[in-house]
Amino acid sequence: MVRNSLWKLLILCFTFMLIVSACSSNNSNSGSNANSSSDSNSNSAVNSEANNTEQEPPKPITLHVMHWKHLSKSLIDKFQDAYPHITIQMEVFPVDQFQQVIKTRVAAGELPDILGAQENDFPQYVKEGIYLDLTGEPFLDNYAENSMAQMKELTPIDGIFTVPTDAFAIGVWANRTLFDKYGIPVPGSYDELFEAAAKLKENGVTPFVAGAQDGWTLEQTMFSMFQLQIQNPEFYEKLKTGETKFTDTVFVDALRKWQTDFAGNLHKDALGLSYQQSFEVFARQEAAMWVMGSWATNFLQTSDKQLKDFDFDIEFMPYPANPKGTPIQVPASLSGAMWAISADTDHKEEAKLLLDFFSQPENAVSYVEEGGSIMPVKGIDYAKAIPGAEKVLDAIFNYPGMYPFNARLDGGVVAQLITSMQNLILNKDPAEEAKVIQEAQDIANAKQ
Amino acid sequence: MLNNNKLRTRMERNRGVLTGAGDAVAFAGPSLLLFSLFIIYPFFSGMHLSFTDWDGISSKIRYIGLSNFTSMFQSRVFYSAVINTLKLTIIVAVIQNLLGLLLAVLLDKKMKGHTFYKTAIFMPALLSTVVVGIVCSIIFSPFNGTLNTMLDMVGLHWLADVNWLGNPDTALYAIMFTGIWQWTGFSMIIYLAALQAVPSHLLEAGMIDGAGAFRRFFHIELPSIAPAITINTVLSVIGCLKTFETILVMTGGGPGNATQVVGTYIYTAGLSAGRMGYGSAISLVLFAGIVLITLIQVRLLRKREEHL
Repeated sequence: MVRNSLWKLLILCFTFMLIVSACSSNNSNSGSNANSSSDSNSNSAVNSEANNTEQEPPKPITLHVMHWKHLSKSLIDKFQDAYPHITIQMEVFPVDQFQQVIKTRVAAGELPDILGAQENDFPQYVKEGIYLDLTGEPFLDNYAENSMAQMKELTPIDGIFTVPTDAFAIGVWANRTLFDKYGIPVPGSYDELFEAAAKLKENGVTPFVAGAQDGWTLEQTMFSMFQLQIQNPEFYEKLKTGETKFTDTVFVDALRKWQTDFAGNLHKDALGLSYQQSFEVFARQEAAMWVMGSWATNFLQTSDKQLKDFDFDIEFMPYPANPKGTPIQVPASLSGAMWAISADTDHKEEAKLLLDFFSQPENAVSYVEEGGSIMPVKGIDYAKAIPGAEKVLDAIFNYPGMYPFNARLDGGVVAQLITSMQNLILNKDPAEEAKVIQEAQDIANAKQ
Repeated sequence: MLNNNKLRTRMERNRGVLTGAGDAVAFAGPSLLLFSLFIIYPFFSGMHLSFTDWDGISSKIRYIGLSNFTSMFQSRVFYSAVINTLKLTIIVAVIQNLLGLLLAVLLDKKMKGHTFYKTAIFMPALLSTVVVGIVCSIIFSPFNGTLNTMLDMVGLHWLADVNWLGNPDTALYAIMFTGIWQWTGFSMIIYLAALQAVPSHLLEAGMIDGAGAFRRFFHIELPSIAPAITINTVLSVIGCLKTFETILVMTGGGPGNATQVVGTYIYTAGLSAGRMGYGSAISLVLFAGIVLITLIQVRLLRKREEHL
């Protein structure tokens, strides 16, 4: 009797698990098949709203948005006022954990309707059909042509799967007052930058600070590795085919240079500082330079978006990774961080309405003003929208740029590169670190 | 007589009802279903993944046999994570239990304000581990951190300069401190409950026989709370072996791999590096390790309990 009931119980559990598994596979199948810009159900819902007021009002829905940047309440309210049947539910995760969270959601078949897209994993997500194809959407015309062109170039297959929202350039936020005090000119090359660092050090000033505890911040400081990109533009791309290796002398030398030149001039507490704290150290004049992207303009502003009053002059210097006698090439992206619509969403048309809303210049400018982001939408006066950003804009739009090599590496390689850079600060051997980074690259290559 | 017969009949009927198949399903079914859904299914799913090269995104999954396990045992980071995990487990579990026991003994004396102390010491165990991690990051920060500011105020300038979380020699110890601070109260409560359950007549008999406080503790109280020692030790060891959130929040496993433990390595390798199959293989090894250590521990401690 007892044995019989035990069997029944086990069969019941097994059936239940089968049902659960079947449901989850069904979800993922529907995800991969849903990669089409046409969705008759959603289309009809929105068309009815736009064209036919006599029909039933659209059903209230909630759009789930996931990003590492907040959308301001005023923008959300404005959108919800325009489309009263749509409620925006915003979920924000730290930028360095965003991809991990998204991966768990992909695995669970629980993607939000709209999500942020980061450069490293973006091509794979496109290939896997995770993002909705937006080709032909009228709002795409609102974006700057050069941004869209760069984004298309990065997309591994035909189609437009994302919209650009945060163009950026990396640069050196410098304490211009200290530079002037010691008669140091704005560095125009790698050698001049480290000559400036040496002069600052001679005068008892720590040249650089970085929030190395938040590993991603170190990616902005890879002067010698960006120099390699300038000198050998194919080097990092060829890693994917095995034609070049991180263990090649040129890269090991770049790591060694970074260790002696940059890590050797770094604030002593850098490994215990976060991104935010590293800026505070810079703001307290405990270091003369903070290497960071243009997105950090929001640190220059007060909560009411006025320019903060610092005790010294801050200048955003274009990134001097170039060898002496050659022009500066700024690591920059005109597309930058992106937004995408999940191919799986049941609310495709409503999600497009949100992207359309943000691409309107009057809304895009609010996004720019509130977040300090360079959203590449036509007709925005960035200089007016972001106080104190003139030099930043100059670096993004007027200097020759190069797409940062690290944004095109596999996420696992970047994670290892960051760990290795922390190890280099701790005086580990660059050749050994290069080997470990290459191991990560080998794993990434095997995945392709 | 008649009543007794009726009672017996009812009891027999009840016994029949309780052993019926339908009741077994009704009682155990819901919890078994939930257990299957949240424990058994993910476990087998993880086990299945550990033999694949799944990256967490791709729809293509290839079986690669034992490759993930081979790479794991060849990885230096894995060994470093195992060593850090064991170091953290031994130090935290020992200090947490000794301190918890000491505090429980002190609070058992019903000193003035003992309820306040009990609540205050137990409080961190009620907080979210992430919150504790954030708070401790602020305490240990080299930039206006509470600890360094206090050390500076009391004249310990040489210590006030230490970059607790940024120095590979101190980072793991700072994390251990956080674990001890958070969980000592939990151990203390279990010890306190056990101490309060020690029969008073045993202690009185000891006193009459002339046993001092130390002898009463070591010969009467300690043997009586042996089951509490077992449960506390097992729980603290399992908790330490699974450490993850505190490290993720405080150091992310860095600087370098100085605070990388098995839990964070699973996250780094599986999610950050997109090697879910490999991450699952490490999870499986961690699971086997925890089961093995717990079995050995329980067996040893049970023997000790019998001996006491």
